[in-house]
Amino acid sequence: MASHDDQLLRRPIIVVGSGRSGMNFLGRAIARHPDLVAATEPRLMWKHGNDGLSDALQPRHARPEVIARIRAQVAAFVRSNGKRRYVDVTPGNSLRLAFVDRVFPDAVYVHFIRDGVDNVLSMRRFYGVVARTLRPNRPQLRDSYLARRTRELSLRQVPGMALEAFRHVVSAWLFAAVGPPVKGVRLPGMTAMRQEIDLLDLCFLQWRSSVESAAHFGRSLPPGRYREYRIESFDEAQMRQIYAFCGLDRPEPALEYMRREFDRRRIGPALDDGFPSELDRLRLLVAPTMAWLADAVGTAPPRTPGETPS
Amino acid sequence: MTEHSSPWLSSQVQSGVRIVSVLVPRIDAAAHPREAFAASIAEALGQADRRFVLDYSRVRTIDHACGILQFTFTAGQLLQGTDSRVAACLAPGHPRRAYRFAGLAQFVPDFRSPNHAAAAVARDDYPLFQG
Repeated sequence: MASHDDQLLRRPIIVVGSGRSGMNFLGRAIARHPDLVAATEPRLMWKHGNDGLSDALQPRHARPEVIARIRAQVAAFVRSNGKRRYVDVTPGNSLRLAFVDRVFPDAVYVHFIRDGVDNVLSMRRFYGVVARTLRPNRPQLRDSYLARRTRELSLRQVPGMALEAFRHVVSAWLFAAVGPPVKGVRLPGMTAMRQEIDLLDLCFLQWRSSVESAAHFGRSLPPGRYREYRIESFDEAQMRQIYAFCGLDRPEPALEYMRREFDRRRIGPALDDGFPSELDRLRLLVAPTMAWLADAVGTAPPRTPGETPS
Repeated sequence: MTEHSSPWLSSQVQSGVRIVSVLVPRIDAAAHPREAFAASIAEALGQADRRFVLDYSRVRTIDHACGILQFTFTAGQLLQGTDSRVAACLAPGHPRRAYRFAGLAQFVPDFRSPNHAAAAVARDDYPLFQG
């Protein structure tokens, strides 16, 4: 049984990036291969045993029982879907790739990057709407946030999730007592930060921490384990590259999915989703990180995200 | 005084305040294009209107793809630098919670009814829009 599981866990494909960067599209496209199955944001699975912490888990948090639990859950997921290899799409992993690498030492990473201004505005728009309701944001209830969380929930995680759900609908004057709702990757001290700064600034911090952390770790890996792609210039040749990089044959279904689902016109409209002064400020904020991403392969990012509080 | 109306959008002046109202319970990107909303604001600006109420009080369901947040950003981009005063009116519940949570109320304050919003922007001590 264990050796069969090891086969299912061989070289998982970890799609990373900031939330709202197109990761779900990329994960679904890659997973069109008949041997693959993609899990969409199994956030609670990755937090097993570290529930009280932010998403910025360190290698020391990958204790043997944590590794065993996550690997068993992934193997069961792949097996139950009748597939042979795992694709993961969890934005929070961008903050903890060193942890992920302890769980899956032979994983390959594909980092999808979207223009920072566009990405942050999209995050603000999305998080602003979904953070203040329990209504499903997807047409199919079984695909909704609540349904997905319920499927991966362990008993120990129930109180935290109940509090999170309560924050979605509670009056704002109660935020001082219960904390405001937070969406997207959980930065260290994020609930306290949200009390002090507005949603746009918090989304910027989430974006910057995610892309810098993932790129910093990924670029330190040996060749053949990490690749970066920009959604704005993504094309079929790059999808073929990803397939070759992941050791996959038969990219045609992924290319067909891409032709059907990838609409370049949908990438830019978020640029209209801010007030002029916000756009000016945001352009200044994202510029250093975008420049570093473009130029400085192998160097430290402009600012390294903080350590996870214990 | 100019009045404009479509099946989903109305624009009318009441006591010197331009009230742009979305008349549908849910904004759909295809059926209720942002460009039409922008055109109604631009037309009012062209007629020297400088006091606005964005009336979303009939909008009951919002999503991230298209809705009151996007319309408000559109209005803000058009009103920037025009020495205008603008307020919004939102239905209680999710629309108002999301609007405030996303931080839009610090730029375009919201009120509980179009009349309250109109009374506010009609005052000379109501702040000019600084988007």
